[in-house]
Amino acid sequence: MSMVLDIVVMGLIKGSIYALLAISFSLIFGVARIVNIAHTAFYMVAAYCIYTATHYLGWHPVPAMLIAIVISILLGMITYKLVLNPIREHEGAVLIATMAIAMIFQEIMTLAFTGTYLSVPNLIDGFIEILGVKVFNQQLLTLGSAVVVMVLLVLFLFKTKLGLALRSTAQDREVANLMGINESKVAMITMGIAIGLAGFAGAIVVPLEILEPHMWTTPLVMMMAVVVLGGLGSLKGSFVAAYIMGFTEASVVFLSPQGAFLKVSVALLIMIIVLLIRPEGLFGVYFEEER
Amino acid sequence: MLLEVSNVSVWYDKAMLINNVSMGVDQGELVSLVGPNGAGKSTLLRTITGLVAWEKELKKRSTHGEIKLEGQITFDGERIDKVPAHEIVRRGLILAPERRRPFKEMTVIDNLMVGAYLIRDKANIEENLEKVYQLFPVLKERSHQVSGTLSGGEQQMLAVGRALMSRPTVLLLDEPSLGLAPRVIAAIFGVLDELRHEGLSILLVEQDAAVALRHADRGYVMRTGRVVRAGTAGELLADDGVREIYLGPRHGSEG
Repeated sequence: MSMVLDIVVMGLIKGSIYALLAISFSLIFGVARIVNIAHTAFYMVAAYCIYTATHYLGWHPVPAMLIAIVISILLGMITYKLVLNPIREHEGAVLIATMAIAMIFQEIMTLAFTGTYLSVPNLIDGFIEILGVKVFNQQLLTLGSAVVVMVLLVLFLFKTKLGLALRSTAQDREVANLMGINESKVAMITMGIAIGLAGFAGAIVVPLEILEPHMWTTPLVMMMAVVVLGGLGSLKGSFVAAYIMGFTEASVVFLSPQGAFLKVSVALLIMIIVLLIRPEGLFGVYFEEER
Repeated sequence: MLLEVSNVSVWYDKAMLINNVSMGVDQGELVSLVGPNGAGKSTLLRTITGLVAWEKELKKRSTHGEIKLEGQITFDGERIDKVPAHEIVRRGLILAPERRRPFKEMTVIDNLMVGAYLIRDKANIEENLEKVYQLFPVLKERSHQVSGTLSGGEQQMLAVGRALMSRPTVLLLDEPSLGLAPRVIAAIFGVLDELRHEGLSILLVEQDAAVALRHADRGYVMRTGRVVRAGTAGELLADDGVREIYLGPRHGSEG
């Protein structure tokens, strides 16, 4: 029984982080047509920002988190403006450029912090016992804030004018353009918001994870798997698939020996099986070819 | 003229899609632009609304193809051929595009709201929405339905309604009759007549010359990128040459 609860807690946390990453990745893909391989690298940068602020500058973790998110947003918009916008119509170049950005971030972090495993203190200490299982308050905080941010994102997309601009640009950027929406500006704003979300994911997960310059690679693979499993371009699909992957990962870790080493392969295996049955993913959307 | 196109030419790679076209629309006129498939009618509308120039910019950053644009377009006395596509609406020109292109996964009301994107004043938006609902009551009934599930005729009404939400001075319409039942076409043209009587200028692109010219004040006939006939709707309807342009000289299978 206690193991079930462990799996539930870890599955929910992992799932929420993957959901945040996958949804923000899908936003960039949908609106700006950019496959952002560097997505989780921004997540790593945010984590290191928090480490720097708390460890070297002696800041409280909350302002450190906020600054990390702001830095992510700015970095995202600058990257878009300087690197991605000029090559946006060239899919291959975008893929290579975003991969390069990720590697650059990784090497800068290695230079600055070496490859040592670091950690960031919890935002809140202590734990509560649910049915005899210890659940750390930090875990609940991470989970709660992820859910709150996802709700805010949905409200933003469906209740605001900018959200309307994002959704219509994702559907048909040419017609959005006709209606007076500056498609290129919307793409940059989307990049800022989405990278901000990736930074937020990094910020809330960092107390639970080990900080090191390669920490972006596994989440990248899992995030891409979630996006593909859920159906490219479907936010709902990303959301559902994120929890499927999160729970799979948690189950493998707790149920099988050496689970920590197998978690990713099992999760990816599930993705492959689903895709064999349903190639468009769980909530696949039909994308109209542009001319 | 309110909208004036002067000596416009457009090349996609080596292909010349529009060849030195000059035409115009006056205040309160319904002008029909007719001609067979591939005559360059849609490209002309896309040029006027800035989409060709936008596409040209995109192509500069990609590896496939290039677009060349020449000529001058003025609207209300000001040149608009260098105005970016997303600024054209602000000037009072809007296009209801070919194949209607609703935002398929969005509701009818959301589609209409995108049409009113540049309008800040909520009361104005409400007023425009009332007007669109009055012209097309079916859109009101279906306002919370996802637009991809509408019938072809309803999607066309949505495309026109979405364009009207911006309160345009000139409405450009690309093939509103495409694939629709005669009864639905009649309903849509009925609305166009009504709008024209209220003073809206309309530039209509159609393959079906008979329908288009019957509702128009004036018309232009295009063929292979050129304007080959111009005149009042009556003149063009009576012109045997226009028939021939459609059916092609001697062989009657194309067009």
